[in-house]
Amino acid sequence: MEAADRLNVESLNDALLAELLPVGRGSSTVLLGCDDQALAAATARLGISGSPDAALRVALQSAGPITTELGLRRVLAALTEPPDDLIVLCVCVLAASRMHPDEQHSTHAYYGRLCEVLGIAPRDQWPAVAGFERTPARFQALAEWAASEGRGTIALPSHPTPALVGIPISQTLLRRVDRDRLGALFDRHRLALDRGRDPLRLLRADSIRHQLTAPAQRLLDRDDLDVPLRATLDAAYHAWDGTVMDERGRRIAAGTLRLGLSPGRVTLNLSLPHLEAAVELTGADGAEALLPAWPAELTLPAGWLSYASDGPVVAQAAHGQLVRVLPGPTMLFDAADTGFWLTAAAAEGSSVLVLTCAPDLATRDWGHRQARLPLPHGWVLICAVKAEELPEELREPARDDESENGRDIELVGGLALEGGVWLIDHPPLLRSRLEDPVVVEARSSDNAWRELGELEPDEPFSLAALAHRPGTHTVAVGGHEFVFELAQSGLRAGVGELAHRPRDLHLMRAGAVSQGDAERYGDPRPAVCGAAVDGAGDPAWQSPLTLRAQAIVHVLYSDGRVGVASPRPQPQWARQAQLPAHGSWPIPDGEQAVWLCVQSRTHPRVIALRAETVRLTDEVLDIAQWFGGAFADAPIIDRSGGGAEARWRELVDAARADTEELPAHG
Amino acid sequence: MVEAERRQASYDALLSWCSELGSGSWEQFRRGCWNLQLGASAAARALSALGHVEFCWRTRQFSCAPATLTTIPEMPGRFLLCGQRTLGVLEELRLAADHSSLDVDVARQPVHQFGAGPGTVIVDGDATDAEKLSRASGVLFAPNAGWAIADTLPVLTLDACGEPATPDERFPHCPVDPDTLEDRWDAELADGYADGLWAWSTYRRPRELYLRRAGDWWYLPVVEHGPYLIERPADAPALVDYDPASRVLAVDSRAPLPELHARAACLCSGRLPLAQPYAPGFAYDHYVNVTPEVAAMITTSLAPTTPRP
Repeated sequence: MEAADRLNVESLNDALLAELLPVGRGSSTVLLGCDDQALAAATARLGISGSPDAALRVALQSAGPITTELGLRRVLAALTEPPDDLIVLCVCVLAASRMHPDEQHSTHAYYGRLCEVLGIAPRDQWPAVAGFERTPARFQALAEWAASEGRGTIALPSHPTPALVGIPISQTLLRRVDRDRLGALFDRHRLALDRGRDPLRLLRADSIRHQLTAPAQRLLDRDDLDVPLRATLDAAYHAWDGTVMDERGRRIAAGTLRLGLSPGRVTLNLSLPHLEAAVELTGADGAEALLPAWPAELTLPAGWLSYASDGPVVAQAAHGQLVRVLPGPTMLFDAADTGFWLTAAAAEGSSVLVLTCAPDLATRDWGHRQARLPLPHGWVLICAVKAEELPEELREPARDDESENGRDIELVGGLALEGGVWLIDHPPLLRSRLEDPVVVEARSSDNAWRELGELEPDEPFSLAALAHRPGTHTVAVGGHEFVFELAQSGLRAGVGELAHRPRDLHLMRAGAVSQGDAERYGDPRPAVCGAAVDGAGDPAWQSPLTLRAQAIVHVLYSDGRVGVASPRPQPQWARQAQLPAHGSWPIPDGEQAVWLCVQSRTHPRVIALRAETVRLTDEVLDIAQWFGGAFADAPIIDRSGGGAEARWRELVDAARADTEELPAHG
Repeated sequence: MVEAERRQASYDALLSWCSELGSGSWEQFRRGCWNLQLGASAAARALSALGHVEFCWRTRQFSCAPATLTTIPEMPGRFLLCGQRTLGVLEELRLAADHSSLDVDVARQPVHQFGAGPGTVIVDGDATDAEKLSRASGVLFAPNAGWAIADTLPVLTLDACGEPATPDERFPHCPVDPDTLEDRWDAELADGYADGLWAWSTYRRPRELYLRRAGDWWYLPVVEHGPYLIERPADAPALVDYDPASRVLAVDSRAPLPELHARAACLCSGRLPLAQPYAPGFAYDHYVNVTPEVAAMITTSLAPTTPRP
């Protein structure tokens, strides 16, 4: 059956149910956060590749007609019990999620959005969509049903404002206006989010949270909605179109910027995520440049940098879209595994590269850290700048735990990956300078507060109970709250950057050195990094012929020799080290071996190694016939590229003929 | 958990952490070791000897080496995983092997090092499959690494290892006994300085070595070079001894091998040396499975007890 044939109100309802109210949530607080991502995911579950909105309308129409006059009445009359009417309630919430102040609708023009979703015109009386007045009772019934089915407790407002529209709006985690404003957060923390960092933790620590709508800010203040909020933010980041709103309300595609740096040369390389085809950009100086499709990059014309001293530099694409090519007079670049990328702020303990013309930074004496580069007047590039050397606005905001440090209780130790993030299984410890013990409580991704124990004065308290759970944890103790994240991966930057140069008189005394240091001494070779040696030629090593079968093997060589080989016992040192026994073992003179006859009582077999003939000697013929003919009829494993069965048969026949001739000769 | 098990778990965690960071400062590394209750210097030595992490002593930085598969002498079907070991890397290798239909076994758990360093990860399979696995998983393949590294070792001379320098007499110092290689803080005050090795305690490092020869001072940035540059009594036991029958390279623990020498020896087996005490307070570090060629290159590079200009 085609996907489109499967589409009806029941199937889409089931898909939405699985997406939005899955079983197993117990009594956790949830919202019916139906937005574009959720609808797209639900239609994808049904295998529908077309427009999710169109699919939604088709499904609704299968339950009853929807017109300006009838509104939702017929559909609601057909779907009387929860969760059958979930799809109608999802439509209501979806409309709220699309609310956005534009030229046609104010943020509060909810009915306009609902009519757009339903594909009808609003009617002239209240409510603008007929039947909508019945939805509050339906939301209530759905909430009771979800609670009884263990699908979570839907948080409904007790006194919604406005009375009708307030309910679907209350279910919307993020409205479109919020998503637009979140573009700045996503742009700022792109590197961290790509590394899988918790978007909710980053949002709560960022000033952008104060620019969100009041309902969204209220959601952020609640601590029982972290799970759906985190999932929604995560989905919003992945669906983010890469644009930000500038101060004038213009939607601008935020290009990603990579810094290329080699002695005496610097490049700024722009790329635009999701750009499907190359576009011509016109810069502030009127110069044109071709921005290739993602992920290829445009190396920016050198002159464009000078325009950044006055603020963000925006270029216009041929189709009218605006592209932010440079963010302003100060740019920080942080290391990722693919190079140095633009970042908004330096994390505690990290060091960044700073490209700036801001006087307070550019005029400082940076000594040997200031790169010698041909840059526009007033611009400098400074390497290895530590976060604490930067002005506060260029540093990541102090973490909750940090702001508490130096007080009564602090987080210490653990294996920190970056500011606020620790390696999973190795969280920080709590230490108290209070005189009395205090209770430690923790809230993890399941939202429930749990008591972990008592923190005694001057005794480190292990957070081992949380150690194995990745994600953001909140620990409340003695009136303080600490928020930290446990992650399974770190930056993984700078791998292979240091290498020994054992043949250079100066460098051999320094341990491993960077490529830059090596180049000052003419990049002497060989270079040793870990187990790899570069620049010394390949060591004498030939891939040996090995076998994993733990059995005696008769080896038939091309010159007619026959050898017997068997696995050797593990050397003493390997037994002492308790290395696992029974590994592969080498076949002597493997490069001349043609056949391997594996002597096994239960599974004798013959392995063909190469398509060569073997000189027929008595030893060869004996092997083909020995062992009660076991090898003569044994299964053949062909590693020679084909024809092994026939060649072995030929050999066996020759052996049999030889045996039959024996009496005659005798 | 017994102490050796705790240390083993700590070393494995330290390697995972360094691998997830990729690189960092010595201060970070030291803090990480402290939090895992490991000595930073010993940990750095172990990670470097096994080819996992590189350290620059001048800029005080560390950086993981790329993950690399190498061969083990006389064990042609076994391969050693060196370098970066991120969380889940073993599973990734297994998946890469499955995806490429390769007949290889990736160890589920590293084999312990008796709490002296991160565990050994062995990959079992045919050599050709190991090469294919390294390509499929983005891991480097560097066969015969012990030999290749030993082949790069220069002959240690004072010119190569020392920097002409005058030590600061304001800091505490004492001669190093050429026989026992112990710092003789109890040495009698003498007029002037005798030729030989001197230990200095400075702000930068708790122990620095200077060598005085023919009245001139030389600073030795790598302290491990010191014992191999001095003239020792003729009856003093050799600092390095090789037994070809057991393929054991025995090194006096008072004169540990320099970084790359130790790595060349360790990568013959993937194992850190085992301490074999021969008298109270004295031990030999036994590097196992060292081939005669590698042993010869190491000893030629060190040429112990023979002073050279």
